[in-house]
Amino acid sequence: MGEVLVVTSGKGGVGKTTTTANLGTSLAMSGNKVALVDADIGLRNLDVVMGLENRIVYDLVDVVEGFCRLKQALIKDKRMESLYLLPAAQTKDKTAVTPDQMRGLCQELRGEFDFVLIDSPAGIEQGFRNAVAGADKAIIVTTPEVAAVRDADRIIGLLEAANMRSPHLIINRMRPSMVRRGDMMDIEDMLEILAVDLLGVVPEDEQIVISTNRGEPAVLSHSSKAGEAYRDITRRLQGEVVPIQPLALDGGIFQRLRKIMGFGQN
Amino acid sequence: MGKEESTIEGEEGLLALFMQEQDAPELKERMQSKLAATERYLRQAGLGLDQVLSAAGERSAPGRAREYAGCPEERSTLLWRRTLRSGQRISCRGNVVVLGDVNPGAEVVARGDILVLGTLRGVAHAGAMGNSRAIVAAFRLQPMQLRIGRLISRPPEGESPPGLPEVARVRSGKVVIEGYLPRGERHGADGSG
Ligand SMILES: Nc1ncnc2c1ncn2[C@@H]1O[C@H](COP(=O)(O)OP(=O)(O)OP(=O)(O)O)[C@@H](O)[C@H]1O
Ligand SMILES: [Mg+2]
Repeated sequence: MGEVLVVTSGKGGVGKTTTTANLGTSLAMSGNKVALVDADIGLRNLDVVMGLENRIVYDLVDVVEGFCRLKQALIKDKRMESLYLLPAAQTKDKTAVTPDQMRGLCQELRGEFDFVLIDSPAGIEQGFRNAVAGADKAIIVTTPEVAAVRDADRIIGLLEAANMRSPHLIINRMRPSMVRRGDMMDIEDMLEILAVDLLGVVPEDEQIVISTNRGEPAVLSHSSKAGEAYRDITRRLQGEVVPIQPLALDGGIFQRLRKIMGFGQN
Repeated sequence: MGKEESTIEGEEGLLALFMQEQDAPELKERMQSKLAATERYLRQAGLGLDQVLSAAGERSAPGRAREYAGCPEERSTLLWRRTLRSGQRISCRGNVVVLGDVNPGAEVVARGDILVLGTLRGVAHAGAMGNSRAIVAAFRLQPMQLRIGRLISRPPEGESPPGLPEVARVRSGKVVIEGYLPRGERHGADGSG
């Protein structure tokens, strides 16, 4: 039985789709059978980031409405044998699917795949509720900005109210130089408020923009710093203990990270 | 995520959790069946079902989950056993004790006192029915805004809090924040330093 993970954030544009594409690709690279589900119905993106847009025939709404079988709608990745994408419908909206239908869909996918990653839309309305309905665990993406952290906190509160197991946090677009100048929230500030496990820190990286436009996730490139961070996160997702790159931050924060990652300080 | 539903617990208080996805009639029906079991609590609380629903409804911004809690009696205390996160709000006819933090974007309202065994970063309103003798105390008092009785105050900008427990109370018509010294009052009473 596979694990269903939803990638969500509250705030828009913080890197949910980027994270879903990269973790999915990277999990497949390390031998897992992976399904990516684009639950951002009406604003689909994941297919573009994966470079699979021109292969779409059926979509998620077609599947839940019974117009096609799940197998027909799943698009096989260009590069990875064991990676599939279930695209969102572009011409419908979030109300075209119900949380119950999403639970059913996740149940079916779980039987076929080791990991199912769901890319959630921004917001806390029906699109969010659909995206999290069938998930076992949530990965919360935030950026080091007060508003993004506030929204992440709100999302965590909603997940807790629904009895979802403790979520994992990814901090995206980190810029150590700005933190050092005091122009950005540091990791410790964020963890103090959110009080959840840190899964990884992804640096700001121009390569993400280039790879997004090319439809090739950054984890495929060995020169990308963000790609490297996503590869580390992938290993942590599979239970390995991988230290978080210090990102040239000061000692206090690094120690706190070690503690969180189970290194202890004795 | 599990099935969203409203829950009522009657431990130290009466706690009703509302999720936005339910429209009012369905919510009401579900609540009613649950309430049958806790009717005694309700009577103590002096809260009818319609009152609870309208109290929650009034504060509901569209698309937001709501939490609403009321204590059975004015002199009782509601114990909230986790961190109150952004968008969550508890309100109580008595006192509130939070075993956790109150994060930015969260709100605690009490007719009596508020005690946060953690960091208060959100909004707290003690003495909500106009009692200016109510207090707000926290291990770390860094509120977005403090209200006591009818007074509203913001912490002074740029000043960093001392990292010690503090109490906010009204003195001569102003909200003041003081260090919380467990033996402070005794020292004051017998005149020694
Ligand atoms: N680590 C990064 N470094 C640089 N650019 C990034 C990084 N992560 C994301 N971006 C850029 O930020 C933008 C938003 O990213 P993305 O689409 O993944 O966010 P999202 O959370 O899915 O947005 P939405 O809420 O609209 O679905 C994209 O242009 C992406 O290329
Ligand atoms: Mg997206």
